[in-house]
Amino acid sequence: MNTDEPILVGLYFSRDENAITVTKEKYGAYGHSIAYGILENVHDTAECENDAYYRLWCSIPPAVPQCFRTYFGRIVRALALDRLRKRQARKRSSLSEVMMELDDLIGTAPSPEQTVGEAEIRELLRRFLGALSPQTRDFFVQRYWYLKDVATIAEMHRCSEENVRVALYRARNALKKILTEEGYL
Amino acid sequence: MTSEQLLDLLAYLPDDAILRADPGHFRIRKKTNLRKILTFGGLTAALVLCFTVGLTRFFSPAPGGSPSVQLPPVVATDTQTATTDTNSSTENYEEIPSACPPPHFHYQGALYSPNGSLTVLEELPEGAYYIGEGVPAIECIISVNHCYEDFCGNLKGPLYLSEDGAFAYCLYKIDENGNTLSYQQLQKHFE
Repeated sequence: MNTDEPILVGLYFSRDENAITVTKEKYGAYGHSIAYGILENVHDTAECENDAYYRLWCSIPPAVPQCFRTYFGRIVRALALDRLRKRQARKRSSLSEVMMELDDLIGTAPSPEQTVGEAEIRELLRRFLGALSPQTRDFFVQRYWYLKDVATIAEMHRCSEENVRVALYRARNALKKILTEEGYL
Repeated sequence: MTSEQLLDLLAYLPDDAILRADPGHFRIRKKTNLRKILTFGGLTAALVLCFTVGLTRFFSPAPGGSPSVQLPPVVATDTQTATTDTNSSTENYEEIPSACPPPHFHYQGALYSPNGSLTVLEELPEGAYYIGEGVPAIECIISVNHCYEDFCGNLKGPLYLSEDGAFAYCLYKIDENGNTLSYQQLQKHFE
């Protein structure tokens, strides 16, 4: 956690509206990049960011984020995905591509969120990521958390798109294996 | 489970993995046309050289004879200028910053060199630059060097990477009680 983060969280706890200003200054660009990466639309991104600030304001307290940056990132991501889903039916989007890639993991078992707690899910994902090579781990997070397209990921890592695709394919298989072993699929 | 549920499930990816993969840390380098720079510079230099050599030979005295025409000084000046320009172009290219930490290091945990040695400094070395923050490093400690298994608490704070990417530095350690320890205290602790 950034050493400033406890102070920022303190502002939220004291219901000081400067908390939003500080959040915008420090994490606005981060949130924008996540939202824009998913929505690819400036107007929607701006609305999503504003929603995220409001959500932050409402959720802290009682929440005490251990890492404010990723806490904020998760909120932005969730809001952006919700917004994207609403317009997804109209056209093929980056999200639908990701969905197609994840389709091969899908079974008929109940949702893990319904059967296990958040802590167990975190542990499972931590174990899964730990089994990946560092680069593949980054590929996976950038593809399925930040929803970056394969070309961008390849450019970031200075490797070919094919390399990224193959690594992601293997990572998905590894995740499928873990989910199957744990009885979620 | 649907793919949408799975996508939501992935929101629970660990903080450290999310921070490490933050695309903001990966500067997409513009495909700088080094080849063009070198080709252009090389061709220019070659042309100037040919021109100079040609002129020199043309105006050089026959063996045993006295020089009839002196080489105009302007030619030499042009050559020098052209050479300098070529060099400066190359230098400019080399100065393009590479802010992206090397991938081999990027995932090794932010506090240690790739070989696992601990680096604790009282101040940042010259050239170190900021790479991120909030990476809980306790797992890196355990996974990199088992000597630190008994260490409890999280190393947190702004992280800096040395210019050559070999080491990263953390400014603070916050212990279980929320106390911030200095580098010296940290070093003592690890010793």
